[in-house]
Amino acid sequence: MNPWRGLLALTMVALLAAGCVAQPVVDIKPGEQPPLDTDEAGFWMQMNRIEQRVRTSGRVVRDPELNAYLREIFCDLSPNYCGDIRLYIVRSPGFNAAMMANGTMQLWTGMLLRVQNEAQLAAVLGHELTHYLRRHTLQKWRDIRAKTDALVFFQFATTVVGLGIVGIVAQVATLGSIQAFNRDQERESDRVGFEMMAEAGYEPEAAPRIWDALVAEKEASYRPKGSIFFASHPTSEERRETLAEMAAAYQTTAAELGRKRFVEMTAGFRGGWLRDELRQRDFGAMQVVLDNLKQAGANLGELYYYQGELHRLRAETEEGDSDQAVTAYEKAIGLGGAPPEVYRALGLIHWSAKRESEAKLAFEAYLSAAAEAPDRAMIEHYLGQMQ
Amino acid sequence: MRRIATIAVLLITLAACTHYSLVKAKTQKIGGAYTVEAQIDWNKHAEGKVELWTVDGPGLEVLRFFKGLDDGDALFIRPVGAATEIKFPAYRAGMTASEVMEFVVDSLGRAGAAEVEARGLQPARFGSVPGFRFELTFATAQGLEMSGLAAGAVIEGALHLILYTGARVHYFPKYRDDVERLLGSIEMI
Repeated sequence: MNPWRGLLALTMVALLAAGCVAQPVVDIKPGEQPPLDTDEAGFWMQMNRIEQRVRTSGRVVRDPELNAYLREIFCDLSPNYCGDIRLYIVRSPGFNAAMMANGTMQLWTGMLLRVQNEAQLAAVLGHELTHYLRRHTLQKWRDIRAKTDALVFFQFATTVVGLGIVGIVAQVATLGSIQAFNRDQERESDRVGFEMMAEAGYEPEAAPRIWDALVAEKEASYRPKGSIFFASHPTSEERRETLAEMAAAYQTTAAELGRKRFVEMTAGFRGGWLRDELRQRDFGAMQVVLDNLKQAGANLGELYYYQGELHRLRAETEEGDSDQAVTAYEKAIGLGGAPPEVYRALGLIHWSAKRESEAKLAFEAYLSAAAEAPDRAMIEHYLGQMQ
Repeated sequence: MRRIATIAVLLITLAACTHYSLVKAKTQKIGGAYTVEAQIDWNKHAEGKVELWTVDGPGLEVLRFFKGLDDGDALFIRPVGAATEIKFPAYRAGMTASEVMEFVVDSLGRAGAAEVEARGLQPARFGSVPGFRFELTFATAQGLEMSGLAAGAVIEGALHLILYTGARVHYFPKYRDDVERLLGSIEMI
C-alpha cells in the first residue's frame, strides 16, 4: 500500500472526526429546569458551584441601585426569562460579559464603561441571553467531549500504525473545529441579541457602533492580536459589519438610545472603572476608551483628569508625556467636575520638574478641595520641604 | 531503574513545593540593608528580592519584605498562567511617597485584589532614614476582606518596602502589634 495514500486517508478521517458536531438541542423554555437524570442536570450542578463562588466574590459590585437598573433593562428586554437569569456585575477592566448554562450572567464593569447607552447595553444583554436560551454552553461542552473522544481514539490508532504525525494534525484540526463551533455560537448570539434589542424599540444602529470602538481599541493595544483559527469569537471587524448590515435592513419607526439615564446611573462609578483600566498599563487601548467617552461628552472634566493620569503614568516609560499631562489636568480644572486628586497629580508633576511655586499652589488647592484627603500628612510634609 | 525513577519522582514533587524555613524571634538581617527584631517565630519563604514571612499561612496573613526594588521592577511576581506580554506596574527610581503608594495600590489591583483603598500616607522614619507609611484595605477575589500596613523608604534610588496584609477579621489584628514593634526596631546596616 502506498504509505502516502494511507496518510491521506487517515488525515481525512481526522478532519472528519474534528468536524463531529454534538446533537442539536432545543431552546430552553422560561422556568425550565433540566431533568435530574440528564447530563445537563449534572452540568448545571457544576455551574451552580461556580455561581456560588461568583456570588461571594470580592469583585462583585453590590450597589443596589446599579443592580436594579441593569435588572430592569434586562427584564424589559426579555420579560419571559426575567426570573431565570441572575445578573452579577463584576468589577474588572476590559470589554466582557459571560453567560453560564444555569442562568448566571456576568457583566464586567469594563463593558459598562465602553457601552454608551441602554441600546448598546441591551444588545450585549440580548447576546448573552441567547447563549442561555439556545443552551450554547451545554452544546459547547458536548461538542468538546464528542470531538476529543474521537481524537483520542484516532491518535491511538495512528500511533499504533506508526503515523503519529497524523495524530498531531488531527489534534490541531480538532482544536480549530471546537473554536469554529464557538464562533458560530457567537454569530448566532449577535444575530438574536440584535433582534431582541431592536424589537424592544432600541436604535438598531447602536449595536454595530460598539464594535467600531472595540476594533479601534484592538488596533491601539500593545497586546498580540492572535490567530482567527484558534479564536473563540469572530473578529470584531466581522461582527461590526454583520451587525451594520442587519441594522441597515431593519425597518423601525421607534428607535430609542436611552443615553441620558444610562449616563446618570453609571456616572458615580465611571472614575473607579477608568482607574481599573489605567492599572492595565495598556495606554493605547485606554486612549481609545477615553476618546470615545469624550466624544459622547458627559463630565469632560473627569475625563480630562484621567487623560492626564494616562500621560503621567506613561511618562514613567516614555519621555514627553509629562507636559501633556499638565495640559490635560489644567483643562480638567478649567472644565470643572474633576476629582480633587487632579490638583495633587498636577502638584506631583510640578514638584518632580522642580517648579516649586506651581507645585505649592497645586498641593494647597488639593488640600483645600479634599477635606478628607487620605494623604494630607504627606502633602503637608511636601509643602514643608518647599518653605 | 526503579530506584532512579522513584528518586526522580521525589525530586519533581519536592521542586513543586514552596520551601519555608523557620525565622526565630531574634534579630534578623533583611537583605544587606537593615536588621529587624522579630518578636515571634515566623515561617519564611524567599524568592528574588522578596522575603515572605507568615505564621498561619500567606492566605491569612503575610509580612513581605521587598529588598531594594530597582527601576523597572514589579512588586509581585507574574501570576502563574498570566501571559508574558501582559504589563504590570513597575517601580520607577525617583518616585515620591505618593507615587509609591499608587504603585502598591495598582500592583495589588493588578494581582487580583478588589476595591483597593489606601489612606493615612504620612512621613515616618524607616530606621534612621526618612521614609513613609500608609494603610490599606481591599478584598481578595474570593471575597475575603483584608487590611494592610506598608512602611518603606527609597535608599539610593531603590525601594525598600515592608508590607503586612491579613484577613481583617482576626488575622491582621492578631500580629499587628508584633509588626509595629518590628517596624520600630529597624536598624540600617
